Amino acid sequence: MSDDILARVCNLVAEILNMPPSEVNAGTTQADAPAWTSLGHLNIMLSLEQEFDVSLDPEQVESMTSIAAIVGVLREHA
Amino acid sequence: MSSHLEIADRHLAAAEILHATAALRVFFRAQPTLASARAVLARLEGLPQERLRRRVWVGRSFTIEPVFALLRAAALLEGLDLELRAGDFNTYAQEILDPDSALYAFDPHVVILAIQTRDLVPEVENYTGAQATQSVADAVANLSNLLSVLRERSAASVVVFDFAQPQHLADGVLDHQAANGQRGLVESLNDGLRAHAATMAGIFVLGFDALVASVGRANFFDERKWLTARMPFAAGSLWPVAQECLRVLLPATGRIRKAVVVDLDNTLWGGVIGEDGIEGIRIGREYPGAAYLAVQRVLLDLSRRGIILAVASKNNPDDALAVFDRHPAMLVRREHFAAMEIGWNPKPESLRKIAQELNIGLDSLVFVDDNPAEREAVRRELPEVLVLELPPDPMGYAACLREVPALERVRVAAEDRDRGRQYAEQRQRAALKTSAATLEDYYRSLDMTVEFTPLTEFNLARLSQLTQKTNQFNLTTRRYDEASLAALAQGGGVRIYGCTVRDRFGDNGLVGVAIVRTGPACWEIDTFLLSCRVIGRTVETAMLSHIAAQAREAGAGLLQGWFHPTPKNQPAVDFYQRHGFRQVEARDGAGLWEHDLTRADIAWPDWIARSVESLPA
Repeated sequence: MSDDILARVCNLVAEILNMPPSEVNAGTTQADAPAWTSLGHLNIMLSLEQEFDVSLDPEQVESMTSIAAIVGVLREHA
Repeated sequence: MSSHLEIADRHLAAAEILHATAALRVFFRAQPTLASARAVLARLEGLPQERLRRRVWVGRSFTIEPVFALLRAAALLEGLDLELRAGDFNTYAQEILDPDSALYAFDPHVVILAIQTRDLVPEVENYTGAQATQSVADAVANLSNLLSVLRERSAASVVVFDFAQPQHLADGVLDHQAANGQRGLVESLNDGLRAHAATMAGIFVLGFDALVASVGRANFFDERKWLTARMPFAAGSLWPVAQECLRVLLPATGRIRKAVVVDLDNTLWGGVIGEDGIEGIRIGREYPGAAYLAVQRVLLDLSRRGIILAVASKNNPDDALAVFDRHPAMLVRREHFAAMEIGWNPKPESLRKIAQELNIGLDSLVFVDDNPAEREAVRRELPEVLVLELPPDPMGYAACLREVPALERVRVAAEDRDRGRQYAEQRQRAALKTSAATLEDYYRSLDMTVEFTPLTEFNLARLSQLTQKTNQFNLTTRRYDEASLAALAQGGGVRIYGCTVRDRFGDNGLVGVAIVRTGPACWEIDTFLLSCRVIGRTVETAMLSHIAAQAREAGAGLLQGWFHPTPKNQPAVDFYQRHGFRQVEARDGAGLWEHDLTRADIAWPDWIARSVESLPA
């Protein structure tokens, strides 16, 4: 189940940031990805809310600056 | 069964762009999320496809960028390629007032102004009583001034979001008792905006407050996103906002569809006429017949907007027509339909015939059918047609048909309201054509009268619409929205001709436009077009003859004009050649043609009477 979430998150972030899927993995962080700007971050958060049907609070949004952190928060919701 | 995204990818691999686009439309509409938008953009951006490119400037008081991908994707699926550029955060006023701003440097075709109520009039949000009335009056004056300055400096179409009501009322239910409570103030703000916008060409109000209400005020906004990212919308509101923008942008840029083709059984009425009989089909005020009555109501509304209606049905014609003629509950009747293909032909063939009969392109059609197999067949055979994905429940059909952006109009000219009658008259003309012995007999039998009028505030909307919609008999296919046409007329050195045609069957209305740049020695035809309604009746010769005579009168010795070929303007390809022009220049497939006015006239077709009301100044 968690692997499934990881794969969906990687695909989603790659799609939203317009990056090749191969360049987004469990270790990717905002610092690694030039396209992950503050606007990119907002778009990622909005699409997570759309795709995973969750509502993220500001503290979570602030903390979700890596694939691992995103997957962690989504697992709490699951 | 594979997903529509996979279908699209298979078509893309085979370079079938139209088929891929048709499949992507289904994919995107089923789930219009940011990720879906990205998937569409990744597949369609940069493909060699005929598209209308438009630069759109977005002046705003909040973070609106997350809407852009959705808007771009949805527009691209309708052949509109938007370059969206956001102004700086909450600097829309400076951008409009500073003539050297990035807004004017961008030279946009469209300017969108998206301003929140709380950013324009904080006193409404932080309400402390009726003293906010003056603040609202000042805000209306400021906004009106901005729109006037923008109108003066730019020929762009302008789309202004109207102002949303506050989510919470400071005085609670007391507010509803007062004329100038918070709600009353926002209403007067919106009334002021509408009144001022109506005084200028090319300014369109987007019903933002109505959109908020229809989504649900409590769910539309996400206050946390506003406070942390200055983005006020909830994730689920991004698509409604993008769609509402598209509903204004498609008609404002002329990227519209002209006709709706409907199936009959289980679409226009419940049941199958061939099996259930006229007493057995379901249509009326009660459930479930009310669902179909609602569809008919939408069709009547669309018809009043100028959309052409047609039928494509697999039925015995007598059975189906009896319903139109005899069923007491039917709202739509035979006379509302410009074409009816009822028989046993495959649907794609019927749609082809309808397009041919109406003389419009397949990319002007919207197809409505309850049967998913028929929809898929049309998508596969005729990917240009917009096929509606109806919901499973017929109670949802009417709403689905109401929200098609390509069927929206921002202006309706008198001609549009009459369109149904005009097509019925067209059918009579076609019948006459088959009986007249020679072409000239046919022309004479039509009793045509042509009248030329200059650009006026009354015909501006129609003339602009013709430049944006006419594809076939159009020599240069230059599109002018209302604002740029008005600016052109004011600039001087130009004559703009509107051409009205009447015949024994009725008034065709304004059907021709010519724009001519009037140099001292040479007049150059910038735009010359004729609605497909009157192609092939020598009206074009009359127009050219009129222009040539006026040029000569003004002392010009030469009449020139370019022909720019497009995939659709084949009917106009030999126009200049047929009228004795010779080609003097060729560039990128286009040709410049010239006529020596000192040597020969262009003869007026003597079967057309002339009625010149006033000459363009």
